[in-house]
Amino acid sequence: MMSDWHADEALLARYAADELDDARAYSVEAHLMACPTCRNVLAPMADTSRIDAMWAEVADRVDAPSVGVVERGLLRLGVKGYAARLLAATPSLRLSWLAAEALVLGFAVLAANSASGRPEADAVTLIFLMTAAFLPVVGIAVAFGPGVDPVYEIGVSAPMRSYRLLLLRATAVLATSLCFTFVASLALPRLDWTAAAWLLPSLGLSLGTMALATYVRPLHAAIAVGFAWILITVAAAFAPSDPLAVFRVGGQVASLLIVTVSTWVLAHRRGTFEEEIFV
Amino acid sequence: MSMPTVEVVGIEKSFLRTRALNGVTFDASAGITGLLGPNGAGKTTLLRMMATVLAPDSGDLRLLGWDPRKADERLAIRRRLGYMPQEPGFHRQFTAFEFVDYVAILKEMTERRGRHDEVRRVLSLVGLESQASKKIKNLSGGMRRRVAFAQALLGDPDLLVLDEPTAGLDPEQRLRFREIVSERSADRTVILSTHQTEDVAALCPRVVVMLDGKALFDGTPKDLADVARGRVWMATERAATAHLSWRTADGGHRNIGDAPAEADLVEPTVEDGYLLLVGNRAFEEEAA
Amino acid sequence: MSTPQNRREDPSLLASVADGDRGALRTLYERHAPWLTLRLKRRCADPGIVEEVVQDTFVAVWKGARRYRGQGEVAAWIWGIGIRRLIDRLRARPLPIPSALDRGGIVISAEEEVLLSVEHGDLGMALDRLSPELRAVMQATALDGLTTREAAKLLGIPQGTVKTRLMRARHELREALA
Repeated sequence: MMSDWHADEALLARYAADELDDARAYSVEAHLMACPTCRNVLAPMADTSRIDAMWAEVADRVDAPSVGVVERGLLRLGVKGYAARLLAATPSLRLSWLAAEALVLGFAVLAANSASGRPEADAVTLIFLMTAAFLPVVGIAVAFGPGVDPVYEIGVSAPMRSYRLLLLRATAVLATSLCFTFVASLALPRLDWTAAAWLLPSLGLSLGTMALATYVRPLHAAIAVGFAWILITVAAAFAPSDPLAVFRVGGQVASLLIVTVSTWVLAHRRGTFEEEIFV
Repeated sequence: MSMPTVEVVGIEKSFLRTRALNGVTFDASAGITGLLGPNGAGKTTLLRMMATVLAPDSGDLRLLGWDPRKADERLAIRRRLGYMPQEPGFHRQFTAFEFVDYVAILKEMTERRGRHDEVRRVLSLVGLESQASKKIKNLSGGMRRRVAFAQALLGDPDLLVLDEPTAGLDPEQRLRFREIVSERSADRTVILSTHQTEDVAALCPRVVVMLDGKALFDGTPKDLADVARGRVWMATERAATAHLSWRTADGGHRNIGDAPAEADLVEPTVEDGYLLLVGNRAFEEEAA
Repeated sequence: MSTPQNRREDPSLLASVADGDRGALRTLYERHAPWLTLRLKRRCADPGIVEEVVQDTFVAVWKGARRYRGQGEVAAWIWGIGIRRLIDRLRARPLPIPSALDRGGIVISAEEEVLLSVEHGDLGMALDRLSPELRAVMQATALDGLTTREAAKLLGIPQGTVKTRLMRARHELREALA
C-alpha cells in the first residue's frame, strides 16, 4: 500500500507549527506512521533543544531504575536517596537475607506454639528468646568489613567515613530485625512478659557487637559476642529452678547496662576507629 | 621537573612474617609512572599505601603534599584520589551504572542529579555507556575491568592509583585505556602497576622496576632498555654465556647476558632491560 | 560495532534495547521523539504534560521492548504507548478541549490540495464539514486507535457520548461521501 509518495516539506513544516486544519493534520499523521523518510524530514522541525533536554531525563530514569524492594521501602520511610543506596548494598539487607531471617523466626514461633502447654514449653520459649535476641548480631556481622563487603577496599580509600557506613548499616540491620521479631512475638502462644523479654538483650547484644566492631572486624566481634551469648544461656538453661532466668529482671538490667556502655563506646570511638582500620 | 606529588622514602611493611616492602624509595610528579616487577615484588602493597588503604610500618609517605597518617590530611588525599584495586570486588547484583553510582556516593557526591551526570560521564569515557544498565554479573571480564576503571575516574582525581589496569583487556581496549590515561596525565599524577613491558614503553615516561620490596631501577623506558645495551644478541642457538635466552618466532634465539665478541648485537627493548634486571624470576613466574 | 546504530532498522534496534543497549534506545529516541512530541501536542495543550508523556513513553519502551512482537511499524507501537500514557496522565485532571478543535479556515495551498486528493480527497472535505466535536471523536478512534472508553478519557466526556457522536460522525461521513 505504501508508495514512494512523500509529504512535501512545507506541509510538514506547517504541521510542526500546528497550522494545519484537522483533516490535513490527520492525513499527515496517518502518513507519518508508515513513512520513516517523512519522519526524518519532520524531526528537525520539532523543538530540538527541548527534545535533547528531555533525553537527559529519559537517560536518568533508564540508568537508575532498579530500585529494589528494600531500597523502595527505605525511601518510603523517608531515608535519603543516597543513604538508601548505601544500605541497599548491605549484604544483610538483601531480600534473600531478610527471607532467611523471617524463616528462622517462623520456625521458632511454630515450635513455641506446638510445645505450648507441654513440659518442655519453657525450654522452647528459651530457644525463641535466644534466637530472637541474637538475630540482629548475625546481620551486623555481615553488614560491613573486609571479606564481607566486596567494595570494602574502594570504600576505605573513599572520603566517606567507614565509621559512618558501619553505624548506618548496623542500625538499619538492627531496626529491620527488631521489626521482624516484634511481629513474630505477636504470634507466640503466651503473650505475657516472655513475648517482649528479647528486646533489651537484643539491643545489648547488637550494640555490644557494634562497639566491639570498632576494635576488631564486625565478623570477629559477632563471633565473640555469639560465643559469650551461647555460654550464658546454656549455663542458665541447666540451672535447675528457672531456665528463663537470663531474661528475668537481673538479665534485663545487665542488658541495659551493656546498652549504655556500648553507646558510650560508640560515641567515643569515632575518631580512633578510622585510625585503626588504617594499619 | 615539577614538584613531586608522590614521595616514598624508605618504606617498610611486613605482613606476619613476610616482608612485602623493604625500604622502597622513589618519587613521582605529574605524569604517568609505571611500576614494573614480578609478582610478589611489592607493587600491590605499595599501591594500596598510595590509596590510603594501608599504613607503612616505617618510612615516610607523602601524597599530594599530605601525610596519610594524619586523619585530616588523609581525608584531603582521599578527596582527590581515584583508586582501582587489582581485584576490585563488585556488588554483582548492581548494574554497571548502579555500581559506579554507589562508589560516587562513597566519594561524597550526595546530590543525585549531578552524581548521575558524573557517572554517565565516566562510563562513556571507558566506552560503557551502552552497557550501563547491564548487571555486573552479566558483563565480561574486560568490561568489569572497565567498570572498575570508570569508578577510579569519578570526580576527575589529581592522583590516580591503578593496580594492573590493563590485565584482561583486549588490544583495542588497551589502546583506548592508554588514550584515556594519557589525556589525563598532563597535570595529574598517575601511578600504575603492570606486568606488560609494552604498556610501559607506550604509556609511561617514568618507570620504576621493583624487586623484593625495593625500587631496583628508576628512569625512562629508554634508560631501562639501555640497561641491556650491548648485551642482547641473536644466535642460532642458546648461548652458554647468556643469562637468559629464548626462541623467537623466526626460529632464532634471543640471548641476554655477556655477549661474545663476534655476537650479532641488536637494539635492546624495554623488555630486554627489564629481564636483565629481574633475572630469571620473570621466567620462573611465567612457568608457575 | 559493525553496523552504525543510525543505519539499523527500528525492529533490530528494539531487539538491542531489550538486551539493555542504551545506545540503541538513544537512536530510537532521536528518530521517534520529535514526531511523537508534535503529535501529542495536538492532543494536549499543556506542553509540560506532553514532555512528561514523551519521557514516560521512552522509559516504557526501555522496559517493555521485549513486548514488541515484531509485527507492524515500530512507530505505531510507540504511538500506542504514548497516547495511552497521555490518557493516564490526563485521568487525574479533566481536560480542556483539545487544541486541534478550535481552528479557523486556513487557505489551502495547491500542493496540499494535491496531497489531500491523493490521500483521501473527498474524505478530507467531508471531515472538514464535521463539527469539531464529531471530528475529535473520529480522530481519537479512527486515527489514534483508541477504544471508545479511552477516547472518552482523552476527551473528558462520558463514554456514552463518545459512542453517540461516533455514530453521528459515521452517518454524516457516509452522507457526504455518497
